[in-house]
Amino acid sequence: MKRMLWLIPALAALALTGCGSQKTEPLPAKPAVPTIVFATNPTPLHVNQEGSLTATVTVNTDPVKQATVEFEIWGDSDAANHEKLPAASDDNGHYSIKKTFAKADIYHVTIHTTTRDVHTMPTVEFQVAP
Amino acid sequence: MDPARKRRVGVFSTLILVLLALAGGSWWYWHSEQQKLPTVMPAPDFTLQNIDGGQTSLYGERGKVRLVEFFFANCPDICPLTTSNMANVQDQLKQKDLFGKQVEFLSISFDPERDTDQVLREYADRMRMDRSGWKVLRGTEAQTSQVADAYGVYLEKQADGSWVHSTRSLYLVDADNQIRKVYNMGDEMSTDEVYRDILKLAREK
Repeated sequence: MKRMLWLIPALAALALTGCGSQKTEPLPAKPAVPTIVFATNPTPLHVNQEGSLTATVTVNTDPVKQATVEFEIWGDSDAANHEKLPAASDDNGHYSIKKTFAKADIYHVTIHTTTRDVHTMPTVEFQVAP
Repeated sequence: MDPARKRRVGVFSTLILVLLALAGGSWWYWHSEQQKLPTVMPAPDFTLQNIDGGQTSLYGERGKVRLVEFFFANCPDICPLTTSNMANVQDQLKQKDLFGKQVEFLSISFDPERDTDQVLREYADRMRMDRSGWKVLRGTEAQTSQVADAYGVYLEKQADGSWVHSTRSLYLVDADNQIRKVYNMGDEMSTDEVYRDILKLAREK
């Protein structure tokens, strides 16, 4: 029983600490805006052959490891049909998907990127060759 | 110590521990409910065009707790997710008969070129924004950029018309025009936290 007496001062200390805490949260500072570089492998991609699409996300050349990245892809010949695919991270700032295209075309990809501070969605184009 | 006495002491100790845990838990709950939200800074005033007609100013709505969102309708992920979360909070506040009366939402579009009145009305309808207590505002790009800047929202327009923008751009403003909290938008937004904080400020009045 006596061994439990430490609980009383511990709870009191916890309570007092809680009473004294008044967090102040400043307005958001200017956020770190990421640079996004897109590449396919191979370049160009080829019809009916699996290739990879990769966005490299960095801030001041440092990789951004905890972003959420989604690729929104559409081709020129079927512009109304957009496909959205979540990219997998390699924990080193690279966000990739593997994909096989059934049609040669000029494609566009909007890279929806959300980091801790900002949201950005650049659009770039790439080619799938016959 | 004989075994019966040992057992009694054991039961008694467990009982004391359970009581202490219950008391502690109740106290923490009461304490967190009572603790006031800190003041971040006075909310900068703004006057912008309401898509339903006329002008709306923040200070003109003094006396109500306000949730101020910066967004653009073409944003396909983080903005609609935030607005959808706000619509859920709207529904909870309606159940308490607070929405529109003691609490108001203000959504400011920072993309006036694409977000016309019509586009914003369609967005509001699609997102179940009840405009009796949720004002959707727009202005010129210079006006909305100035308001965003005053609130510390980072905006950068890209060549393709899209925006790089802060993800922490949802502001809780109390009845006396003080910013009391800034939230993350999208996946990081805690709807429960926003709802609890609004109730806390509504009770302060």
